[in-house]
Amino acid sequence: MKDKNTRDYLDCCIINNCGEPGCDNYTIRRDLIQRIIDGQANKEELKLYNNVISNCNNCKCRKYCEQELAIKNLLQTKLDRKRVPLDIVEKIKTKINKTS
Amino acid sequence: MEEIKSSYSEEQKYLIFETEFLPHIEAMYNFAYRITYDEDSAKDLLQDTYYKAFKFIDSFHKGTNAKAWLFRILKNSFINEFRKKNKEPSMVDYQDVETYYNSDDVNEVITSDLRVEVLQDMIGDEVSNALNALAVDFRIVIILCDLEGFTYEEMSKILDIPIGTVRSRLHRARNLLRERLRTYAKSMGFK
Repeated sequence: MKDKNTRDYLDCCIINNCGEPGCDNYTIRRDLIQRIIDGQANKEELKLYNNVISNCNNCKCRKYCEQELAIKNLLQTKLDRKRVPLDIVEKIKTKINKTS
Repeated sequence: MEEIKSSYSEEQKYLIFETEFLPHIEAMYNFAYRITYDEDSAKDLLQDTYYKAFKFIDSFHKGTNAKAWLFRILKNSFINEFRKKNKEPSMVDYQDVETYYNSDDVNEVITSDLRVEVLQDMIGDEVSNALNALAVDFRIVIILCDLEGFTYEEMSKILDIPIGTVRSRLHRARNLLRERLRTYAKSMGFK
């Protein structure tokens, strides 16, 4: 993926009055937001988000990011983890021992 | 995935199996269940995966990412065998996905009318139903990323697709999931 520099992101918030229709840099920022959501943003990107986007009251990207984080949190907290059937490890080992 | 040929003694094989493979069995079982949505199929898939892992253990490099290696085997078993058995048709045209991702229409999705507070009030069954309603290829990327915490790079190796495709598929999957949750929220009278 093509690397973007900080200026690309800042242009959207500061110059283009983000949140308005025609926000040119949404596609660029969507990539940033995805990395933030997935914990794969670098320090510069996190700093940018914390210092600029998270303070931008009308920022649809910020709202989108919050929504995405809420959905991720929902998945992590509301879905039950299934317990592994007690006998399955023995079955696996038996199968392996029979064929090895 | 990097496969470095090595030769282990029988004792070493069992040791690797016990110490590097089995600790991931719960994550593997949950992955199997989430993609088959059937306990018996999940058990079969899990057994098949561990059997293959042991059989091809020489291609596993000790100390590398066993979890990703196992998930890749499980995913391939599912695609090659279990999905064929069930004759599930391919539900995703990835060219369409890529086209969608790169189109202007994608901006239409960034509405924020699904409020965070509404999401927090949802119960597990509805979240589970929304996830299970997705095509399995979309479900897989969400499970790998959001539930199992794999990085894009690891997912790329597990799924045999470029990182850019991982990200675009994840983006599309999340949009679809959000739409499902939004529909549910509306049906429950949330505004």
